[in-house]
Amino acid sequence: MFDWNSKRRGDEEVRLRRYLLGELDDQTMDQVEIRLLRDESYADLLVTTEDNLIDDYVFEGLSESELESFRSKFLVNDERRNKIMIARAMEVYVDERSGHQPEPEPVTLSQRWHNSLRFLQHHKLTVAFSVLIIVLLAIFVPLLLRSLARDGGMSPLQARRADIERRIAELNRQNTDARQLVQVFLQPLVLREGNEIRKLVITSETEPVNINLQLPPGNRYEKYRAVMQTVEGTELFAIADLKAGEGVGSSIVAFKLAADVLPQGDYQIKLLADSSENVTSEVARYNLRVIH
Amino acid sequence: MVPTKEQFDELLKWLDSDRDHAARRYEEIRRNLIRVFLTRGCTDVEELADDTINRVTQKMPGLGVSYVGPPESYFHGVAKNVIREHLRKRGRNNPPPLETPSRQELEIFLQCLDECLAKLPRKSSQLILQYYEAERRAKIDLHKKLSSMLGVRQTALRARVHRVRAKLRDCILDCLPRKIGSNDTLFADI
Repeated sequence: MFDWNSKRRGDEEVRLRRYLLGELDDQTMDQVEIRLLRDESYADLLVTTEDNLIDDYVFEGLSESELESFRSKFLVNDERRNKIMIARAMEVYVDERSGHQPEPEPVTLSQRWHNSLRFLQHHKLTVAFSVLIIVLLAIFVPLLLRSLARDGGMSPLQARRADIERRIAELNRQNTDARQLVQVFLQPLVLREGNEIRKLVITSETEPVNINLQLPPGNRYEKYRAVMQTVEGTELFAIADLKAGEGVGSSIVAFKLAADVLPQGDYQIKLLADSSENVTSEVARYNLRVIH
Repeated sequence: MVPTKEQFDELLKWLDSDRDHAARRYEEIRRNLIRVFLTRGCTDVEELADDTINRVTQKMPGLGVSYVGPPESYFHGVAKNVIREHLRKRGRNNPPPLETPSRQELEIFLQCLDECLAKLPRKSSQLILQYYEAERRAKIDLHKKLSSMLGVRQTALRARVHRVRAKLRDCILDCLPRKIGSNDTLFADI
């Protein structure tokens, strides 16, 4: 017996169709016939294929070449001719039937009411189950929506970024003695011809670090924003509302970072300036390598 | 020459060591030989199937010992000889063209169809009517444009329809002689 999956069945039906139409070469024809003798399910498929072929003939679904083979090779016995007559009768029957469909009788309101009652009586379990599902949905969908609204519908990555930015903003609001912090001084990339990358070693004892970004000469804006990103340019988080201050020999923009927000790797800080006209412009970029 | 009972027993043993299974195999082979003869354009197909089986049986018991391979292949080889002889004797006849029958010619089929559809379970009759309704629509919509792949695309549906259609056809074939008042070959009567 053969395990008929639909694709294989389809392929076999095509082969049997060609067999019935006398379109196979002698060798393939022999293979088909030996299999017919050996496998009853294959013989059943032959009968189905024969019926389908007849339907296609009656309902004009044969190609020109198939039609020619059908007339010359397939119509070789009375049994098949009888089958065709029955299929023709079927065609006429559905044709006439579709032309004489009885108009559905109008249903009165009381009939509708009785039909509904009868439906409920016959489908008690189904109705009870459906009601239960509706009640559960009514309870849980609002809860789910509320929970989504709380998260602002954010993706996990967005939520993590928001959390980091909230912590950094909090850290920068605190008045910590800057002298107790690890100080990192970074120069703008344009000024660092040697391309030496500044390293920050973070240990388990490292407290928040103070990042000092040296501003290019003559650069002074009201507010700055530092965007921490990977060297490939993927933004990780941003620190907003930064102000420029005076450093040793040049202006700097400083901000504090929690040590745990920077896993080991290379980073780039993009410093943006927000002017009073709401125009944002890039001020400089700084490279930083974090080693744990 | 008719084979002996011993030869027939040997044939069954050759088909299967279990006698019941062997008897079933015998029936299947005979039925499918008839299909092969029909497809090859033979007439008197039952006689040809019996002739084939007799020829194989007469080779017993020696065949069971000497022949290596599935019995069906041997039956097929003999059947091909039978077909060749049959067609040589009878000559190859081109089948008469099949004209589209008129409504009047189909009347008796329609009466039987109506009767037999009523005998089917409601679900089955609905399935077959819906199937033919879809075929009719396809004919109207596409009109001769359906590819030869139609059979493949609709395989799943057609397989479900097949059993109901076979039952319906058997019923119609039973009904027709009663309506016509003859047991002769139906097509010849119409």
